Amino acid sequence: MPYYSDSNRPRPIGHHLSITKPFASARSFLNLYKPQTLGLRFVVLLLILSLVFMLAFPIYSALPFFQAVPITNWLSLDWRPDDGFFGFGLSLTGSFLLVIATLPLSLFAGWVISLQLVDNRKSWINPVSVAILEVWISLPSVIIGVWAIIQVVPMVREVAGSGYSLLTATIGLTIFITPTCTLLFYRSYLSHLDQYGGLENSFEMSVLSRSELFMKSQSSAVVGTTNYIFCRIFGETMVVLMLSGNSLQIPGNLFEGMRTLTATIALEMAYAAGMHETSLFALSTVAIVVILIVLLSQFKRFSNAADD
Amino acid sequence: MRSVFALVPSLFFTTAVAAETVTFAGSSTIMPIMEAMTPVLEQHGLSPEIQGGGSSAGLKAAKMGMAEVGMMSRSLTPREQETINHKVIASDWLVIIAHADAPYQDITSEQVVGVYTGAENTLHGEKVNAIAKEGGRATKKVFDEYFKLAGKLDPGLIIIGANGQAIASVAQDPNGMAYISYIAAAKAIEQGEPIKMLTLDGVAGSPENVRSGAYDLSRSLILVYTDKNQALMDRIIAVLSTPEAAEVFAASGVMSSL
Repeated sequence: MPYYSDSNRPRPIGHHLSITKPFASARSFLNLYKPQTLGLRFVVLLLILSLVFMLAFPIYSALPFFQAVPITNWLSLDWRPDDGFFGFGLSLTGSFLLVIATLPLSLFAGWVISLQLVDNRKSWINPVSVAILEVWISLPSVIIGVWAIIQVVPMVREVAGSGYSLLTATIGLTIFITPTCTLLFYRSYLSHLDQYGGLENSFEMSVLSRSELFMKSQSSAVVGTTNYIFCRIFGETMVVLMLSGNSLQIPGNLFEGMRTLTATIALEMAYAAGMHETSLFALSTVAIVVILIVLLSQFKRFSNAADD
Repeated sequence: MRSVFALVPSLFFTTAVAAETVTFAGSSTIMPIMEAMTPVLEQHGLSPEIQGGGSSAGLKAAKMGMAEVGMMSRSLTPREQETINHKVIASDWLVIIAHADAPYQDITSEQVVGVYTGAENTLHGEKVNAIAKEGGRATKKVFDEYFKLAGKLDPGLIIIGANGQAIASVAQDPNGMAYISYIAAAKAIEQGEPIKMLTLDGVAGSPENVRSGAYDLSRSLILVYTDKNQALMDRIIAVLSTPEAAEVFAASGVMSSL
């Protein structure tokens, strides 16, 4: 018996349903375009639509705010929404201070740990460490926040202040974000070694020289990692909500409380009404703009990668 | 014979068949009270579904019809009063808590104002780490209005919104101080947290003192509803005025106004 005979020859989709006869053009479309091509275009279209929708919603909801409130009001440092002062400067400054404090720490710690992981990649400790780091990454940030409230806050309280401060938030956030950083550097360093491993071994390069070589040769990976970690730190809400104290001030020293943009939105959204709520949408619009500006710095990297 | 078996499932649904589902949405303060009130409501043929989300979310839900009744732990502004009906069901009050080992039992109004405006950092020689709530929250409004703190709050105050975290923070800090609702404080002390309620100007925040008017730091808990649900609301108020409901209110630590 042949594989395909007259009775079981391949037939167009929907041939047995007379209801599809009016949709003959659609059937021929499906027959012509193979599933792979159709799937990819569909997925890309879906991604673009979801992203545009997610970004457009807060921007659209915030338009009444920008029409009603003058720019001098929301560009100030005075955040008293109950009285009509919606100064975003306070929250933005707090977020930037936190990023400036955490970004170098976490990048440095991540780099050092990833070097150790790479240098010992033949030993049994490597898969164990990588597994631990991957579990750490998957932990919800609330767990890190709760642990830090119990352990870190009393320790900081003994030194100075009330325990909830810029320092506490920095410690908690660094602990949260360093494993992500480590594994990102680890994976790019392994691919870097395919090219430069022999060079590093034959010259017995020191750690500083190897770091310099890595940063020069894989500058796109380093910039990409830095950008990603910046966005994660800027957008992290739960850890800073629980640890930073949410005080309405710019901290004068490390032991004073501060307020970040994400904590403002998370704290006040449940209880905001009217213009207060709209101002929170406007605050999230400002956050989107900041992230997009930082993302644009990667534009050169994306276009270079596309050309390769 | 088979037709008799068909009636068996109905034996399990005798109360539910007559019950009408009512959705309550809003304040996280009233949520546990309504949840404790569920048996009383079910006895009278109402089956409640209770959601949180905050007072403002409850108002919006009631206005837009997503819930039949909104629960709010703050009073309505004059503009909001024009758009929706409300009924006061109970009053709640705030207490100031400190760590159980703190050397002071009492705090005066001047001391509260001093601590929360940042004018004084110490109380009876001990450092005080005061915790406040964020703007927009009903508890904060009541506290600020009573002590006339509007606009004078210390910007360095720690702001912790959730009652649970505020209690945990005061429990671990011998110098901590916060203001929370009486229900939350009483429940935490019952569960063994090392905190205590301070007396304000010598008056303790107990139900008797609130009833007699000696302790004044109270706010009213209200239910909001649109005209469409007037009949349903009358039924609910009738249920909440019964003696069983009064017991539930008393057990929850609020004072019934019905």
